[in-house]
Amino acid sequence: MKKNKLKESIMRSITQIFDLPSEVTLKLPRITTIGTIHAYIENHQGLIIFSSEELLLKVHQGHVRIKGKGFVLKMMIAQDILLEGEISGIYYEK
Amino acid sequence: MFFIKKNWLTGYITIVVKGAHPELFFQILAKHQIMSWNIIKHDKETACGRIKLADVMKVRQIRRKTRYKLSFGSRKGLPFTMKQLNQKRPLIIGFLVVIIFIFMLSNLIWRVDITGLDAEIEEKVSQQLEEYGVKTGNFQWNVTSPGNIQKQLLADIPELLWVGVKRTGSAYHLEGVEKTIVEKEEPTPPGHLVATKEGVVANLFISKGQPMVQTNDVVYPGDILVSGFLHSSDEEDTNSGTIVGAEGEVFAEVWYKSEVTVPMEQELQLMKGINEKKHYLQFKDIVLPIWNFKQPSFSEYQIESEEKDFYFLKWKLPVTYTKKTIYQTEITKQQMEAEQARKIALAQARRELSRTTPPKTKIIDEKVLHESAENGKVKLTLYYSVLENIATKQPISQGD
Repeated sequence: MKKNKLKESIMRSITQIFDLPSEVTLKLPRITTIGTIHAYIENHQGLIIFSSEELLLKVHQGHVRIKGKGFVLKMMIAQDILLEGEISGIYYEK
Repeated sequence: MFFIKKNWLTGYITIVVKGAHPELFFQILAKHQIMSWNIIKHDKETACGRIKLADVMKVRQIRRKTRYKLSFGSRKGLPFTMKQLNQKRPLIIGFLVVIIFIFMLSNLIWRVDITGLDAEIEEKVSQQLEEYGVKTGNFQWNVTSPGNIQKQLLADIPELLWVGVKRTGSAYHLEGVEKTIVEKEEPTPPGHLVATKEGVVANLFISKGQPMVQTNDVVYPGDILVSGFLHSSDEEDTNSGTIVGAEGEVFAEVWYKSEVTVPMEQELQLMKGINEKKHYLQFKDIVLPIWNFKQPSFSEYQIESEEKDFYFLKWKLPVTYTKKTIYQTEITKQQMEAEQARKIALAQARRELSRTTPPKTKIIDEKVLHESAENGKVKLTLYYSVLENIATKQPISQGD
């Protein structure tokens, strides 16, 4: 675990020094929202729960929970998800 | 959403997944690089989504390894639409046939009306029209434009003074006016005949009035030739006689001097018999060639184009058909001898003279006063003496 933390801090500083896009180098999710009607999640690592009120995704070192109403997955491919509905909140959980 | 449009072309299918946490089945599909979209979870144990038609076999294989139950819903997309259309083929063919039928009927000539003419000439006109193709049952695109018909009719039927050709929808309306010699018996208003030009009186033909001049008299413009006052010679008071409208013709010898210049080198554009035809369809401003795409092979040419409209019921379609005929021409330079140019100059001068003088004029003498050929041009100064009717009516104001 310690080794992992060290690696991550090095990567983080490299990303900052060279101004690289952090979602690529750090495997972090990139979430783009359009108002409260769309959410485009890239770089997730798997869908865990999906219902019309909730979407739970596994991401690097944690989870992303999106809550709302009338959810529809407009598109789903290996790493990207396009969510449509009435989004009320996005939460990051360990 | 471009990808959905693309999937519509290849076809897609809705799948319904049943089991605990059905959404995870789509996660498994995503892991296997199978795209899915429009995923909705209906309740705890059912979810539905769409997948590509091409992925169905793969999805089935994946499902076997899981505990989910899979059922297929509606199929959509081009392949299925095509299949449905194929089943409804008779209907579609029928529909097309009806449209073509209406289109053909809209472009037929249904009626040709001729108004304003005698039965005899009307018959002549309708026969002539039939020759041009204007008859009921013919297609409108076989007929030239109303303007052309009008011109042709006037040229071919000399009895017509004027004819108006109008097309309203599928009917042609012709309105003709005959040339009739109207003998108006209107009493001419009282007046004199006066001279319009300077000349020597040669002949007098008087039907009414008192002649004031004699043969060989020299007259000037404004001179009274024939008086409207009738009175015996012994009466002194001119006003006591009766007043009539003088009528008649007074021919006098009139002189003209004219100058003509004719270049000895002339450029002539001659049409050779060879032509090429090009066909176009025009949609608003876009011109689309449909036949003969070649550039004309002639270096010198002249283009004649003919346009045709199409109708659907009463509406004019935005599509027009244009036929362009390209005639090969040849520009030839003609070098003339001075003698030849002189002849042309003389003919030209005579033409000009007959245009400016009244119809019954006769040329009695023609003399070349001066002739010069320089700078490739022949210049002639001509002298003409002509016999011409110089009388014109001048009303008498009676002052009462």
